[in-house]
Amino acid sequence: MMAELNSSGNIITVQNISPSPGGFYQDFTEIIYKGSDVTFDRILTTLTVIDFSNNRLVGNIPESIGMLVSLRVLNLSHNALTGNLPAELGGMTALESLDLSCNQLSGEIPQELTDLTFLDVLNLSDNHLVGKIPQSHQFCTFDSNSFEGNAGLCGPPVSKLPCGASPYTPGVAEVVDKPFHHVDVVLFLFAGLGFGVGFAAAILVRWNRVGRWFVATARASRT
Amino acid sequence: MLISSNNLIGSVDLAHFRILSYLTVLDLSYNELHVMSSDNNDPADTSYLAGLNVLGLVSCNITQFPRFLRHVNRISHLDLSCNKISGDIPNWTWEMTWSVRGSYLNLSHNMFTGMQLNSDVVPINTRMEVLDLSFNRLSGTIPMPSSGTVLEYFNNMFSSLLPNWTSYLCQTTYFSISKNSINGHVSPSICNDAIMLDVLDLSYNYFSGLIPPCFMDLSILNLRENHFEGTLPSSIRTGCGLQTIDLHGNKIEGKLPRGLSNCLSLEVLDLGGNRIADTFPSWLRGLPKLSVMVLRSNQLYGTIGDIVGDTKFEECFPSLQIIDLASNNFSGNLRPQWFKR
Repeated sequence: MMAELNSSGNIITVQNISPSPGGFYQDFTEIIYKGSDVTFDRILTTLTVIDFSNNRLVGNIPESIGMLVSLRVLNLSHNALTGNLPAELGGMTALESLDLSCNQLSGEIPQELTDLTFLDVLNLSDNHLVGKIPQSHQFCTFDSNSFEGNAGLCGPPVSKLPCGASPYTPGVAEVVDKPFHHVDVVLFLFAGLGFGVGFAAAILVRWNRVGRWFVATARASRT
Repeated sequence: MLISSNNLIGSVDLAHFRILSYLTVLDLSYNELHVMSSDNNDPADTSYLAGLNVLGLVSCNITQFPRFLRHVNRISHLDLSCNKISGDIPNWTWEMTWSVRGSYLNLSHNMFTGMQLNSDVVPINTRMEVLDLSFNRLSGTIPMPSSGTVLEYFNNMFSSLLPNWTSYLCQTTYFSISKNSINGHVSPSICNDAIMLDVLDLSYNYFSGLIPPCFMDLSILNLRENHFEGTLPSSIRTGCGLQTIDLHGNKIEGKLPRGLSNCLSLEVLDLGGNRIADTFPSWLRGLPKLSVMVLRSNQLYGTIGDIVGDTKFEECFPSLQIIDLASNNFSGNLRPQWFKR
C-alpha cells in the first residue's frame, strides 16, 4: 500500500500493488517428520510434535499420553523406556508418526493402536514386545521393518505362521518343513553309505584272510 | 490503471500505451499476460509513458528489462518480480529519478547476474523504502543503498559485505542476506549503527565469531547454519521483544541465558545443533506465546520439566506445539502430569 500524488495533484492510494514487500518475515521450522528431515515454511498450529528421542529416559510411558488427541508426531525412540505399551495410545487419534524403537518395552501390542487411522509411520522395532501383531486398519500397511528386533512377536508381517502354530502341524507347516526332510535323506544316505563301505571293507579283509588260508591249505595238500 | 490479479491472457506491448501520456499508475501483475516493450534501439521509440511513477509487472513473463523506463521522469514504485529477466540490471536503473518520499524497487525472482555498478554503493540518494533483490544469481559484494528501510538479498550468490556495511543500516528495520556465501565476523559496531533494526536474517552463510549483545534487542534473530561461537549474550532486557530466535547449527556453548524468560513475545526458540550444556529450561514455562522449542543435539542434561514450587503443570508452556529435545543427555521418567490438561 502506498500513496502518491497524481498529475493533477490529488492523492491517490494504490492498493494491492504488491502483496507484501520482502519485509515480511515468515517463521519456518525444520523437524524430523516421519523419519526424514523436513522444513516447514509455515508453522501451522496443527503441526504438533514431541521428539524426546536419543536421550536416557527411563520408566513407563504414562497412560495420560493418550490425552494428546491433537499430537501428530511422537518420537521416544533410543531411550531406556520399560513397561507395556499403554492401551491409551489409541486415544491419540491425530497421530501420523509413532516411533518407540530401541527401548526396552515389553508386553503385547494393544489392539487399540489400530484406532490410529491417520498413522502413516510406525516403528516399534528393537524392543521386547511379544504376542500377536494386530491385523486391522493401518496395521495392514506396515511391513516387518516396523516390528523387527522383537523376538516374541508373531504373525504377519514378521512371520508367515499364524501365532501359536507349531512347525510340525500338518498343512502350512508341512511346506515349511520340506528342507528338513531333505537334510534327513542326505543324512541317511551318508549313514547307509558309511555302513556299506565298512561292511565291504570287513568282507575284503576277511576274504583276504580266507584266501590266504585257502592257498596255504591247497599248498599243504599238494605236498 | 490497476488490473492486477485477474485472468487476463495474451500478449501486451507497452509501446501501445504511448498515447496514454498522463498515465501515472499501471499494474498488470498476476495475470496470464506476456508483457513486452518493443523498441528498435531508437531513443525516440523508447520514450513513452514518461509520466509513470508506479509500475507493477509481477509475473508477466517478461524476458527483457523494459527500456522505456529510462525515460520516465520520476519513479517511486517499480515491481518486476517473478519474471524471466536475465543478464545485468541496467546501470540507468540506479540513475533514474527516484521519488524523494521513499521508493520501492523489487527485482526479486528473476535471473539477474550483475548490477552494472561502479562501486558497491547503490547510487540512489533518496530513501529506499524497499530494495528486494532476492532469488537472483547476483554475486560479488552486496551493494548497499545509502539509506534503506527494508533490504532483502535472500538467496543469491553474494560472497562478501562492504567493510563498513553496518554504517549503511542506520535507517534499516529489515536486513536479510540469508542463503548467500558470506564469511567473516559481525562487527560490534552494528550495535551503534543499526539502531532501527528489527529483523536480522543472516542464516545459511559462513559467519563466525561472537554474537553482538544488541542482537537480543531485535524482534527476529535468524543466524541459523553459520559458525557463530561463544555463549548467548546474557544482557536480555526486561522488555525483551524477541519473537523468533533461530541459532540452529552454530557452535554456541555455555548455558542458556536466564533473561530469556523476559521475552514475553517469544514464539520460536530453535537452538538445536549447538554445544549448550545446561538443564531443561523449565523457567521458560511462563512464556505465553512460545510454540516451538527445538533444543535437539546439544549437551543438555538432568530431568525434563521438574517444576518446583506451587506452579501448576497446566499453567506451563501454554502455547507449546513443537518440543524437540532429541539427542541430548536427559534422564529420568516421563511424567504423567505433562500430558494432562
